[in-house]
Amino acid sequence: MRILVIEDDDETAEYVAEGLREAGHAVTRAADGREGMLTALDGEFDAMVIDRMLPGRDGLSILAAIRAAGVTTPVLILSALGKVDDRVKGLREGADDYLVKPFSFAELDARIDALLRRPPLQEETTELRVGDLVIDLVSQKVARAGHPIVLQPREYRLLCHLARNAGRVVTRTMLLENVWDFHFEPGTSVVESHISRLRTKIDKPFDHSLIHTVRGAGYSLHDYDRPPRSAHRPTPVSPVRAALGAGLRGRLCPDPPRDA
Amino acid sequence: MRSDAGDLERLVTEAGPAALADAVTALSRTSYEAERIFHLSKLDGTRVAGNVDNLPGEIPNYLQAETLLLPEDADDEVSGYWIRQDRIGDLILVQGTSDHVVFEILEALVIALGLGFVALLGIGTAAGVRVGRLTGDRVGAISDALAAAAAGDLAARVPERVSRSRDDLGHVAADVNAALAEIADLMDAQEAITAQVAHDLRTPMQRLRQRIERLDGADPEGREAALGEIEGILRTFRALLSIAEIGAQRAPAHATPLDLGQLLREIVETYEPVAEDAGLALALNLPDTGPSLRGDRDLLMQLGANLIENAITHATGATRLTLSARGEGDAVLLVARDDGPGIPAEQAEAVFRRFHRLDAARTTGGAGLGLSLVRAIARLHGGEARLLSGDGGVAVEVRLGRG
Repeated sequence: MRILVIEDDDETAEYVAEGLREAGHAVTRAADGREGMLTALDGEFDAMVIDRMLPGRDGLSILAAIRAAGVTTPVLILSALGKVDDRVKGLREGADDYLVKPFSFAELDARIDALLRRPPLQEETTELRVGDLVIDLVSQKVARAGHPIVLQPREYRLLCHLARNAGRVVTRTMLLENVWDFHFEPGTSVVESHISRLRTKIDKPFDHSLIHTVRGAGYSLHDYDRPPRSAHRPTPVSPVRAALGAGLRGRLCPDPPRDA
Repeated sequence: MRSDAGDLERLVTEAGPAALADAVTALSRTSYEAERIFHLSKLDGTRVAGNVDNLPGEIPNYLQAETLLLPEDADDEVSGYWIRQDRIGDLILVQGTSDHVVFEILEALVIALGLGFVALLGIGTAAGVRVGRLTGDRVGAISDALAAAAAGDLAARVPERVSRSRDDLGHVAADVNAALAEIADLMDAQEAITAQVAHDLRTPMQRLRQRIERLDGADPEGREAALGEIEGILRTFRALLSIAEIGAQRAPAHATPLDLGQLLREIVETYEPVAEDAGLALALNLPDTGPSLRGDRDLLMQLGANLIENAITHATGATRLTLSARGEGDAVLLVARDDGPGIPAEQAEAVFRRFHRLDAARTTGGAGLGLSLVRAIARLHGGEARLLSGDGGVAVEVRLGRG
């Protein structure tokens, strides 16, 4: 995928670009607002990463300009401003995601991945399948290998979010934002304990796990070890991920020992 | 501090080392609660005067308070001192300013701005009462502008038809407008400073983080540990910044009508597993609907979360935390009460201070910023947070304006 990075800090730009290249993307970098805007309007990109504070131009004004010109490419704003209103302002100007510095590459990578695979048209889906796990979105019933599983409302939302992003890494912060609508970082392990509860229902009674911990990044729901038998494939593994192949699998750690 | 050293240098040349010792003793005595420390010694380290002892041989820029022998009245909130060292004649003067003072200064700035508002409002109202009977309408316009400004609308001004008139009231109106403009500038400046600090620190922190992340050859465990440390620093930094940013605002920027009861139900649902793992049961005591208020959803969510996290982290021995909320006139009252051993009444105010932890030796974690943030958010919503002491356990009471 082709990604435009508009960032004035050389070191950060290099870090982002290098990481994205390693993940198999083609990266173009612009170092200031003017150049960035012209490149954004000129080129064909699949996603853009725009720094909020650029010499000569505010990142948000670039965003507003390219949106006004009809460019609908997904945009992630990077910002050294962290206030709640800054994020709200960014999303209002047409950003698809907003990440506050300092961030880890794993966080940026997972979010760009989510943006790149955002479906252009929301298909009418009534069912999500990952391996032998089936989520009926209409009746909100969950079953694995034919056995019905009873979930709390929030556990159901958590599982749905993981299933919609099956095969991709979903970070802790992404879960907090999307499942709990939390836009601050909790001082306790809120996500971990919900995941642990979900695991005891979804994974523990069965012979293999679907919820995987990706160390230093987050979680991933997938069934790589057992290809699905039915004609319904789970959300396809991204071409980038497929190209990475063994590389990604190397990053997936065995699950931590489950608590009793 | 520089000027102190300069004056003292002159003192030694003019009146000799004994006078310097006297001066240092005088400075030590006037240092209230050891907010500043002084230590005058000979070149071989023998102490001559001062209010502190047990300095290390090699003196760093920052000294931890617990390693020092401090005077008895020393403020126990102080965790360390920023140090300056000067050689004056044949003596060495070590001066330290407590980190607490730095926060006090920031707080004083906020309080001063707040008091400025109150004073303005008072003056405006008093002026209004005096001439009110003669020119009720124009005074009304002035006091409307002041009331709007006090409520957070910093763009509020007295209309020109009043401020342009050439009589006394016209002058008052013009002065009020000038003062309002001045305050608006000050608030803008403070916001700009906070934003600048945030930006200037976040970029180098980003670089530091990515350098560690990309360290090749280093043992992976060491790298993970370093990243963990960085995350800890960043968490504290972000919390401090939030407190400063919230403190710099006059009113919530994104207030919407909210059902606080519903919000608390969501937060409790979120925290139930974590609390259960920590041996704490969460209970709710709420009316069927409401209480309702206008507020910033994200911030109030964080407020609720911090109340629960505070109990999880600090209320060792508690088995139950009850969150209750009800309307009370034009305010909403939210109380988080645990059944733990409680804390001494004299500590009730201190827990809201930044970096406060009841017992430094206790290793329950947390940077001690949770309740400071609770208070900042409560105040932003026209309310207050305080600790109720009484029959066992800790109860944090948060009052919020309905907006």
